[in-house]
Amino acid sequence: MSSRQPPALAIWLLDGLGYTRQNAALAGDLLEEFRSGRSAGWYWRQALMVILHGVCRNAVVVQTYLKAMLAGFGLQIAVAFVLWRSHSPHRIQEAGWLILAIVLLVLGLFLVYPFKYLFLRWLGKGKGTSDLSLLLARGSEDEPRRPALIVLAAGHFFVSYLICYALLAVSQVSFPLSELVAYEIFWMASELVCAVALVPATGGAPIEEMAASAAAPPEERLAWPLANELVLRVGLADGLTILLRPETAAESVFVAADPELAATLLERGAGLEQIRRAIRLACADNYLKLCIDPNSTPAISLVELAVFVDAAARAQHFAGYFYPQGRLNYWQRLRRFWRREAGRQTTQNDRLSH
Amino acid sequence: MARHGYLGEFELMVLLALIRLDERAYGVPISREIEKRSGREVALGSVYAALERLEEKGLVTSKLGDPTAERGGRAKRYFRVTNQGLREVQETQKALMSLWRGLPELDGGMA
Repeated sequence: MSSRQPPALAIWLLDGLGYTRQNAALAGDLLEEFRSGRSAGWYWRQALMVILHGVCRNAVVVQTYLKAMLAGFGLQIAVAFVLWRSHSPHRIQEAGWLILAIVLLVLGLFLVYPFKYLFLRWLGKGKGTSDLSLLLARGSEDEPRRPALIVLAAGHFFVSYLICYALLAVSQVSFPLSELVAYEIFWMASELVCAVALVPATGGAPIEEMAASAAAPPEERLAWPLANELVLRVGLADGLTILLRPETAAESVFVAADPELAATLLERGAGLEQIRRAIRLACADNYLKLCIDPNSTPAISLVELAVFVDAAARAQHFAGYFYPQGRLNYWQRLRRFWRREAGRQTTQNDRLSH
Repeated sequence: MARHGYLGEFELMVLLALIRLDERAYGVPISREIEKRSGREVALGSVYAALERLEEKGLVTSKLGDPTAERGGRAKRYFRVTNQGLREVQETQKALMSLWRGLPELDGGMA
């Protein structure tokens, strides 16, 4: 098997849009097939199909959000058309129009958006996110807050693009209907692309996983292992268990690592911070395994660590998408995951013991 | 009558490939198996999309294998057909067989 590289642009697209970051197995399969002799054209076709499937899946996942978006846009287009008809033949004095635009801007920037932000925070309480599309994607149909979320999503697009229309109308005293239609199509298309293409859902699991982890009640059945001391619990061959700090563990593991695998981790851009996170994730996983079954084998090799490196990358990537201000606390997500797993395992054990 | 949705053509092909491959079933062999049997190029993205749908329906399960260097350090995701999946394939086979039975000859000349 060769070590040639697939087209860089295709990798960048798949990685940048998040499709292969979220589904590492698919990325591995593509690379394995490519290195077994497939052409660059084949890789491109595969990459485009991955993106197409991702977009289709996203459209299903965020369909309620899309419907609300279209409703908001529909209403905005109707209002914009009425305003355009009264404005374009100069039925409204320019000064009057300017005042209307300023009122809309003030309403939008100083009242509507802060209100939306606060309202979303309230609606998203206990859900682990304040992202509107995610809240709608993960909520059940009969959830009491759902209608409010749908109205909020529709209202957001209605207000946002009415402001855009007002700015357009102020900047151009008179413009033809075709220009208005072109702008509306452009605005709607860009929002649609953002909604369905820029949120990766190819792997499917992380969105559901995040939803499930958010829905899980806070449980304190087991102490959070990383609260005070960051350590890696390593089981030795003679049955003893030692504790290592992540930094020490990183050095120890990498000294003994398979150089080729270490090189590929480096090639994939797995930085030291990601490796550290992976070690902490592995640490939490090992701790959980040992709590549930003291005879379990903890993950200690670099091969096992690579799985956690991918998991850390996925968590980091989602942080970038859904919490652009860095509000996703990686540790909160990890902690939630940990509690959910602990709760699930304890329930399974309870069932078995009964 | 049917208690569930029908399997799509591609979903059925994926399930049959999984049954043929047994323990070795991950993305690459599954797509190769379908390509070999159908003679058409298969997109890995389509295979994964079908597998995810089947997993959501409870017809297949998956687990991560070990990462290898030739895959850029990424793990393989192995898939397995569940008992429910096997039942579903058998029912689909039965339905198709019964639909085929009694049909006039299809080779050549069918308008």
